[in-house]
Amino acid sequence: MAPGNAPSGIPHLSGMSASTAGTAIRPRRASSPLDFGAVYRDNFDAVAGFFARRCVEPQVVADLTSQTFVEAVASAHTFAGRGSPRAWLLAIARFTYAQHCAECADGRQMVNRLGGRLVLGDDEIEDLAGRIDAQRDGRMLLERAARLPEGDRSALELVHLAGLTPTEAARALGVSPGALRVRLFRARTRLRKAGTDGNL
Amino acid sequence: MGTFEEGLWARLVQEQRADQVVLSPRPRRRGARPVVLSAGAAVAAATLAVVLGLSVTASTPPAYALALNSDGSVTVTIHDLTTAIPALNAKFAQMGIDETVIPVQAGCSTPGLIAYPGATMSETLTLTPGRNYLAPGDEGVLAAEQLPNGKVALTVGAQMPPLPSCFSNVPATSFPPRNSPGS
Repeated sequence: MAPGNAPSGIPHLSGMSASTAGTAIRPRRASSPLDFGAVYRDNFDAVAGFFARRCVEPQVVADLTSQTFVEAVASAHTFAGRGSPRAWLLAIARFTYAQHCAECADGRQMVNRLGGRLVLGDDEIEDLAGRIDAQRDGRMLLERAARLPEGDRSALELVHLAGLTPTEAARALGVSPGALRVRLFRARTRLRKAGTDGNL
Repeated sequence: MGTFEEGLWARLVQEQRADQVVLSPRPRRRGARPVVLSAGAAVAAATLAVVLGLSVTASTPPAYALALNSDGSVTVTIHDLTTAIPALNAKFAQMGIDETVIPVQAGCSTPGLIAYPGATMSETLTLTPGRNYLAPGDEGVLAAEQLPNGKVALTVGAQMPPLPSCFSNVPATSFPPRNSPGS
């Protein structure tokens, strides 16, 4: 699925953080049992934002966000407490999106495990449209970063858009913190040379 | 909460009982003596994993385990060759993973799978979904062989379609250089 048409101009992402990405609460590192409801509330914006940066259809954002949390409920017993719940949820979101793209390529229809496609009310569609609109800068950044290696692009997104710390992002991507810093530096340098860094 | 956030939570509670779910961190073993983990436990310990597929019945161990790792790769372990293969292939198809598990059987007329250079048979196999490591026309294949000790060994390779229903346990000839599966 193609993101929406990006407006012209360079996005201004200076200071973009979890709060500007719609995630005002810092991810929590698990040290004691976590209530899934609290994890949901803390990380809903990050998960919905992940899909809102990639999809411009509210229905698709709703279905993929739903699918991610359904998968998280089903997989809750595997949460090992290493890394933050947000990194864990974003790993599920990444896989959900990859699966969605594969299904689109194959012409298959995504079957939502909450009983087919979610039926959204007008207020929910309006809410999601607002979330998609709020991710315009992030969507533009991903478009500008499209030519970067996937690992560099993921590092950029997880740290600058999804609100993970570099250490959490490194863990989510399965690399060392040092390697993550190299990826970030490389991504910023390339975007800066291309004049599309948006003041990262 | 925003509107959709509230609505989705209500659905999750109603249909998935999400309000009763707790994420339990694994207890840390400070100063504990190292222990030998089973293959399944080793998979869980080595990865920040999301277990995506378990063929489970109440009285028997799972036929296979499939875990999504935090880097997007998946780790596969097969415990019961006979029952795992159709279920695992169905799960791969459902997940959009273009890999096919094929059993290695004595007496099979299809020559043994030519594995990637450096690839060895192991009881757990981690690979990154995606076909960028495959040569044009090849399909990704996992060969699974029942070992005398009861374990099932796996290796990764490629095969031109049509895919066979089995591979011989007689080793095939050397494999031309290719990119590694993890690339």
